[in-house]
Amino acid sequence: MPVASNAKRSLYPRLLAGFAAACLFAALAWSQGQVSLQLGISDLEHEAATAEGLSVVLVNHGDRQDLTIRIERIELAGLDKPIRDAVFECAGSQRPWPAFDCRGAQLEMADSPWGPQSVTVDLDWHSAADWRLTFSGLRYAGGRLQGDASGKGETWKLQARASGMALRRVQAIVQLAQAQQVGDLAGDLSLEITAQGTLAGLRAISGSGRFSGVAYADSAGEQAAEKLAGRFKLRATTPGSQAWSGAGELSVEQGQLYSDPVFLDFGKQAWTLGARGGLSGERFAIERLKLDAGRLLQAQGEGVFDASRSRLESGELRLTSTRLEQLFPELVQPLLRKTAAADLEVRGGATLSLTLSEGQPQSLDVSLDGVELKQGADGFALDGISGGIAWRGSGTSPDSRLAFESGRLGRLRFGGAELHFNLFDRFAWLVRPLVLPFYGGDIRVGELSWVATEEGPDVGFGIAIQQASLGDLSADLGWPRMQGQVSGRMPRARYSQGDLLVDGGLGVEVFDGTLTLQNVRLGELDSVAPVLEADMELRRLDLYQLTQTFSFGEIQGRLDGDVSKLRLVAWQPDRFDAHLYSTPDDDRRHRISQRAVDNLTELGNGVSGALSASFLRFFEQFSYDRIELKVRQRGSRAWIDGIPASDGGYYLVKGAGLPRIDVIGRNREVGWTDLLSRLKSIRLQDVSMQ
Amino acid sequence: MTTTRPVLLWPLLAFVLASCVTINIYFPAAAAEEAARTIVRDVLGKEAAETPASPQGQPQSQLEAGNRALWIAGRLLDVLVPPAAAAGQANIDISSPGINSLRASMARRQSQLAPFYAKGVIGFDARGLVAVRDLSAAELRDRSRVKDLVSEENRDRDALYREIARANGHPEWEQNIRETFARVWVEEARPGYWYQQGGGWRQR
Repeated sequence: MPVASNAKRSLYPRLLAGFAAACLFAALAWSQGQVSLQLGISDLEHEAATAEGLSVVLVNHGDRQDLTIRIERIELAGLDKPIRDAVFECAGSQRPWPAFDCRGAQLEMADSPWGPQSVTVDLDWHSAADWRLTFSGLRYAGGRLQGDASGKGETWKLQARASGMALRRVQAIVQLAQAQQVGDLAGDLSLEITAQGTLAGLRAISGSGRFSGVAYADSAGEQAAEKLAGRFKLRATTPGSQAWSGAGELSVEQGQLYSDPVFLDFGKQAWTLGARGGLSGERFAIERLKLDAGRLLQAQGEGVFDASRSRLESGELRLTSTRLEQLFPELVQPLLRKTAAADLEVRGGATLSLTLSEGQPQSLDVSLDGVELKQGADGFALDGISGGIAWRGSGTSPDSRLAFESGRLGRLRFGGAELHFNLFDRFAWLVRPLVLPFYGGDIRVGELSWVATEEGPDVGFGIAIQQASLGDLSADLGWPRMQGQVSGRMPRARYSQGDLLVDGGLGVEVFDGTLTLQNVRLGELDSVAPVLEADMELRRLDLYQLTQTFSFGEIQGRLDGDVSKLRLVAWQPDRFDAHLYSTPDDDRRHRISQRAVDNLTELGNGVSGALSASFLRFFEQFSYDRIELKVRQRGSRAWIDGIPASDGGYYLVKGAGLPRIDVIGRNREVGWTDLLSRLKSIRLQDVSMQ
Repeated sequence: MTTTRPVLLWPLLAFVLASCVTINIYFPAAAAEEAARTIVRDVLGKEAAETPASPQGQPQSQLEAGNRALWIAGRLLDVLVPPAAAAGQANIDISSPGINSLRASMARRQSQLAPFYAKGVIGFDARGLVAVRDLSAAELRDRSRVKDLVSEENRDRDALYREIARANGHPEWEQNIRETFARVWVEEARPGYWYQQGGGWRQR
């Protein structure tokens, strides 16, 4: 039977009107005295309901009347099960017909969509324009309904209270769950509802209720809830058209919810969501939206939602949190899975304002106050961040400014600074150079640009280090304390798809010489095993400063070096070809101490004690002509070489003058880990002196 | 015609024999399996099953002995035709810094993954990765964490297979290494763990 969508709203007034008409018809045959009237109707049809086998029996006892109505079958639109064998018995009415009243009347149903029914009804009927009834004991969805209804003129009112209803048996809830593709519904619902209307339909509705033990789950386990408990209230009115206006509030006070990837524990923090607005057709205008989750999150907003397009046409949302340390891991971080922020810790407070238009964000303004960022124990950290961030999707975007008090990158510390930048659409760039205090000098980021692409961020930057003190810097890195200053620059670098490429070179001034990295590529940065590939060039390093720093013994002179095909995996050498040698045309004195000789022999796999066993032990220093060392490393193996010697060995140190000392290596192939361990704890093992 | 047929046949046979080239499969399956088992046992730690490894040295492929003549012809060709190159069983090096880092990272994560393997929330898939089998078996508060762990573990596993192939100078072995690991993860899994086979889930 085709049924109009609005049929249900007009069902009950029309049935009542029909019932009144039937009574009026019957009254035409009414007479004084004990007379019975029996009316049989085989079928009644309406767009919202059909009834079969209807009979009305009215017995007039003179001073009172008894009314009995029987209906064999009633089918109501929207319900998949009919009402069977309904009997309404109302005895003892003392009102003159057609007025009627009775107390304790019974409405029995052998079966209904909600099971067998036995409802107690008090009826006070004067006319179709003046009636009142109360009912109790109506079973619905496992609970009991009671309430009263009345009609006055063309208006009617219904008040009902229900308790102990099972959600999985409430038709509207089941339909909602099916639409959301969730099942395993559980939980109880109690509510009070008041509805008012006219014969033309519903005009106002208000209600409140509580729910408890609510649970649901989808088949993938990505939408689920357990033991949700809370309350709700709602009020809405309509002038009679398709437009409604009203307000509602929902509070969840207990239970847990998982909506992939966000998990909420309402037992730790209750959430209250309130909204006021109007519905016109399929457009829902939210005049005021308010979310209260304590100090975790406060939100206000407004907007227009188009249900036909399932999108927010326009809106504004303002969020405030003074507990980012709780908000970020619970609500934000799950959304940042697989990004660099996945293991970021955030503390402090922030406010955020977002505007949307035609489903797209138009502007975002964030204000930070005393925020701390920390990524891992040895990662990146910024303390005392305050300022504002502004982003615009179109037009022009105001500059953003963030100030921070101090920071850390790995073990390296840097001082506070101000960051001035601009965010627009998919782009971000520095509007002023960033200058970070860094170990007595500074780090200067002259340019920085960021573009969001479909493959991820594409970042370009140039950076320079000026006159940073090597002393504290090396100490913080856990290295031997160095003297002097370090300066360097990386004119242009680009990060894209997990790889960092450095255009040009990275130059560092160290040990009175220069260290230059060329062809630098840093890959798989999002892995636990990042890969660094580079070529390195050392020029005119002061060996005295170098050897004093590493307690290697004393060597005077300068050193050049070329390290090619360098490849570090997880910051450990995997491959390189290194060639270290005395700087050609070096006019400095070439002197080497006895201890340095001993240590250099370590690289030749030498025998200890040879030097101290000879008369040379009386000399603290020796002259040398050249120092040269070649190391080729491939995985677990390494090959050592130096200046070719006539007997097949190789010089690591080629002596000069008297007394002359040469250090000659014999073994060329060694295990890399063995070589590393010997470098770490130098022992003398083989010395060949000529 | 009858007299010319043998005359034509022999040059043709000689041409066919001369044109044949034996293509050896270089992937050192036994060494790869040994390496995979070492890493898997290291990662799973005490969680690893005490089941014996699959028989070593089984041929990777073999002909059914149904056609003896075909087998003899094959052996003859094998003798007559020189191999394209020697197929020595190389060792698989699993000592590179990258492999060590990835092994350590996976071993650290295993204690967090183990309860979810045991509950059947996650299991081993057929590609040598971890897959979510039944998210509903995890507590609500753990579900996002499960997905994070699976994502992190799979990122490490992908990197491990790639790095083993690269560290051994054969990036093209990545798929073979992945397949070897996929089998060994299942073989070394503790009883009760789940794994994918033939498109469905099975339990050890």
